[in-house]
Amino acid sequence: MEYFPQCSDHEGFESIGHPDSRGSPHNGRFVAPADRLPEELLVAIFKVLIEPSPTLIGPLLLVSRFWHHVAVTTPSMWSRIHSQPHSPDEVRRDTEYVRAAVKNSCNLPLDVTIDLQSLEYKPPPAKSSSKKLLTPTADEDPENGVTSVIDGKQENDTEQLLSELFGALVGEDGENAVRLKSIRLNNVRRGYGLIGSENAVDRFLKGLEGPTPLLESLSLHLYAIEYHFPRTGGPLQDLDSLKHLTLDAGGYLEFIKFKPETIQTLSFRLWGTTRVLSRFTGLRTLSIANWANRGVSYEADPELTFPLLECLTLRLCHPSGMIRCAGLLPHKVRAPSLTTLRLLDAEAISIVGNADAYHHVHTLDLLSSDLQAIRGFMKLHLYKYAALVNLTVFPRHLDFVKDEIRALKFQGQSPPKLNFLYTVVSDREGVIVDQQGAIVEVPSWRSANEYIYRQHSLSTCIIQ
Amino acid sequence: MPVLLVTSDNEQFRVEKVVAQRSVLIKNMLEDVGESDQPIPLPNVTAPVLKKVLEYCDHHQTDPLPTGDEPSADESRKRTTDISEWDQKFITVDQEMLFEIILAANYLDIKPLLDVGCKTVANMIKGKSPEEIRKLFNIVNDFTPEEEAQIKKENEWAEDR
Repeated sequence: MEYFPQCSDHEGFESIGHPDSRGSPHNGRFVAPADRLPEELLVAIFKVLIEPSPTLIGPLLLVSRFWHHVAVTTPSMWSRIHSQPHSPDEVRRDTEYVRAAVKNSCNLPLDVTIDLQSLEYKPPPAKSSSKKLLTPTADEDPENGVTSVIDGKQENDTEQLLSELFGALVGEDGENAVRLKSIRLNNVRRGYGLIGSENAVDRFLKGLEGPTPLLESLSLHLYAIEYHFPRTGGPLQDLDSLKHLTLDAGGYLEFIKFKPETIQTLSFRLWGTTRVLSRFTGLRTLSIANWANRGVSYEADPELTFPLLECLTLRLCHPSGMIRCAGLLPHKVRAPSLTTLRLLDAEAISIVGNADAYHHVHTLDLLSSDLQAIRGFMKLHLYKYAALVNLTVFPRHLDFVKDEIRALKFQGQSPPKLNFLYTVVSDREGVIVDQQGAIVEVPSWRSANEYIYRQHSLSTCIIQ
Repeated sequence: MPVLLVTSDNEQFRVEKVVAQRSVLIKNMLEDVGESDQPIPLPNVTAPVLKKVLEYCDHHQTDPLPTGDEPSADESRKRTTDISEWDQKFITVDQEMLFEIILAANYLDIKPLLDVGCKTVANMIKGKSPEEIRKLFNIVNDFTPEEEAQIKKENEWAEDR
């Protein structure tokens, strides 16, 4: 149930008054269709609208008194906080937004996303007397044809601005930390790192040394976790409620102090051995990105059975092309309750296909840009998936996959229950996944429900 | 067995039970009264709107009914799908009808139809400025100039979102 604060909670709102007292168009004049919607339906529409990004609530505040009232007095429209600044100016702007969101969300638990991956410092064109570089970075200014640099002052400014942003979130004395229900923090930028943002992120995390009793979900995308999480002490020690952990970062899982047996969702980079998984006995969702295996073979690892595991996501190509033992992974990880299998690259498709594993799933995602891998899987292995109902591919592969299914049906080898093809359209922020030029990678740490899908009936594949 | 529905403007619609039961309201009413040929009054829905709503229910009569508690095992069902082609065509109506459909879907408790309606209105709003939204929906700007200036000042972060 929504908590509706009194109007007096909002400074300046009394002068605007409650919408029921406005000189509204309801009083005998023409009532626009949109004005006939009751508050609960307007809220429903607003919630759909702000789903990609809660900051989209902005324009709604300025439409009319009624819309303003509905927006500011519905705390649940503010409790999901999202900042993805591209420039220092946007950091300033988002700081104000975060203040408004923390206030208007009243005391609801907060779901927070701070994504700094697109933050770029665009300094003014450099003069020849530019200060000495503090970071080994240079930024080409195409308009001026000169190379500009990020100097110490700019780093400090960025750090200061980001500290204010984080400060607006947790409060001056960290008093909002107890409200944090989920944190997603991304400080991995393309191109270069900023010392300023590393420091600000570190300060933010250190500011979470107090209790976070509601924290259920923690998602960290960092260069390395050991910088922020020392082996003893450090932030986020009180993670009794944690159920969902995503660690897209260098470093070991044990740097963060959580209770493995309470974790239901785990997404991480696998370092060399599957033994680390043995402590996670309650997993329902597991996403693995293959990472450095340091020459360790999975050969000696025991088989691990996850009785509750429902969704398994695999991305098995290693970015540096190191020798991998990931081929053994499907033999090591047993999941009798698995319903959904997401294979996100050609290696995962090929390895799982050849391992003859997980034939009991009813939802299968084949989301590699490599059509050859998909072709091979469909020709050699798809028929084994007797329980399969849903198959998801990239839009560019839809026609091919339909043809393959038609051919399999003709041979009597199509999975008998296969009923729906899905194509993944975009992520929830609206980024189209399958552009004309290229496919946007689906990272293993993003869950399936962070995407929008289109459903295609397979009835057109029935042989006439 | 067909069900007889009576609209606010006193028109009668005889529809198959499986179609009428896409509405949770009607389904519950039918369960309450048991087997009966009594007409079901729908005082909040006019005939043209009910006709349109029944068109939707008829098309989706074989869809699985939303249960409220999705089985956690079926992760795929939680996935958000885009508005389907048929639904998009169905909901391409004038604004008056669009909002009437939303109101009717809410009253009749047809959640998938309500979702389609809300998504459609949200898509219409997306990317528009407050002024453009007012113009689109014929909404009166009832802020005084002082109030508008104050709200703009308090929400400078909201500009160009």
